[in-house]
Amino acid sequence: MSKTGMHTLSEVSQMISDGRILMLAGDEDLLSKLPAGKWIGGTSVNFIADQGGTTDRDRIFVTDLTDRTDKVEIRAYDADTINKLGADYPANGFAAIIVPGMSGIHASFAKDVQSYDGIFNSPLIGWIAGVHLSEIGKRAPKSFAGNGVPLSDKAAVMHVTLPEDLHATVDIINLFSQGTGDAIVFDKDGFESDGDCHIAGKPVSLARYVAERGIDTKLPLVANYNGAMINVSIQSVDQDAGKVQFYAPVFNGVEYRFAEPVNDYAATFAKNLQGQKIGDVAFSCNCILNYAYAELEGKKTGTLVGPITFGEVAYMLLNQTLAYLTIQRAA
Amino acid sequence: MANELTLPPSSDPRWTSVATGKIHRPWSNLAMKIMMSRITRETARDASTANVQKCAAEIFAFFQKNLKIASDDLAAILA
Repeated sequence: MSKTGMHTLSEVSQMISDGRILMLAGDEDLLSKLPAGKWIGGTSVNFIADQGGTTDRDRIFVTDLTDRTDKVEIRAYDADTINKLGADYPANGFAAIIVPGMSGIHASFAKDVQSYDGIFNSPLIGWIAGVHLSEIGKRAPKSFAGNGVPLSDKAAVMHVTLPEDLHATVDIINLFSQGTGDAIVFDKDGFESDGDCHIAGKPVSLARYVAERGIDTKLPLVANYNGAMINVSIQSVDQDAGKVQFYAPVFNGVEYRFAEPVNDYAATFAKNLQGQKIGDVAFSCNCILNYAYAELEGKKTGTLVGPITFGEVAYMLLNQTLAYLTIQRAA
Repeated sequence: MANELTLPPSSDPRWTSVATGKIHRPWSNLAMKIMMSRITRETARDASTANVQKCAAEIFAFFQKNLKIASDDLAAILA
């Protein structure tokens, strides 16, 4: 029986000793006390649990994959080896990745993942590990690859082989859509816009544009990737320096627009979920910005539970989005 | 549906047409949506035969590995 949900350190230690296959999210002090086994983990203290959004330093969020999994292989990748991720994919299954936030590998993964050889050849799901918002700059987010050693500069990956009659699918739920404002195109890829970009076809400083229009920077930039709405969230705007920092990279040639506002995220999410047939969700995660901006503490996101993260991975880095994995029986 | 579809060989010209955006469908699989967004930007920037072939090979490999979950998109290409 699946053990997915919030558990104490001793409960999770027992699950690992029992050989269960787990994806874990929790405070570094807890994860670093766990025994070696078939698990990967990432730091986080915010979760959407069964009872709703919660901040919890005493328990670990467990995603239990044991019952549907044939075998797993756990690897740690650094900035030099992460581009080989696709070569290690299982023949039938998926890969789950946890990248420590605000690290070098976070930046390089976000910028380059779409060009890694074979990266789309298997479902890739995961998250960017974080810390409590009050600890940004004081504690570094960490990943864990099968033991209690915290990794600040390596991504932990679990390559999961499923039985032949099962297959995995990764998808997203993004409540944001492109607004009707100007199209914004950047001249170069990156986490920052430090000069002019093209807005409605004209060279304009994004920092000045945001100030002049009074744009709410809690709203992400949204790009339309063949029908998938992909967000890039605004981290900061420095009017004096003319710089805008992002939580994910923007890409040259992609057309962005500021999002339409979403009123009452939790209620809209639940309504949105009702209209979708998303199947048997084995894992989901949602963004710390949705958690903070939409005040999700104590609120539910439909029936979906999971860690709150510094970025979601569904083949690429996402912001302000729920990413989820389903495991289904082949038709 | 996956078992009923036959994957055209890697040399099939439809793969290069997908890579350049000449064959464009409302893709349903998330990976296909993201990958095709990147590939069509890439082939628009560099339309050389070598680059288009490289991208076409990537699309072929995607369907080879993902036939179970991307059969709707393959059916759309073959339609």
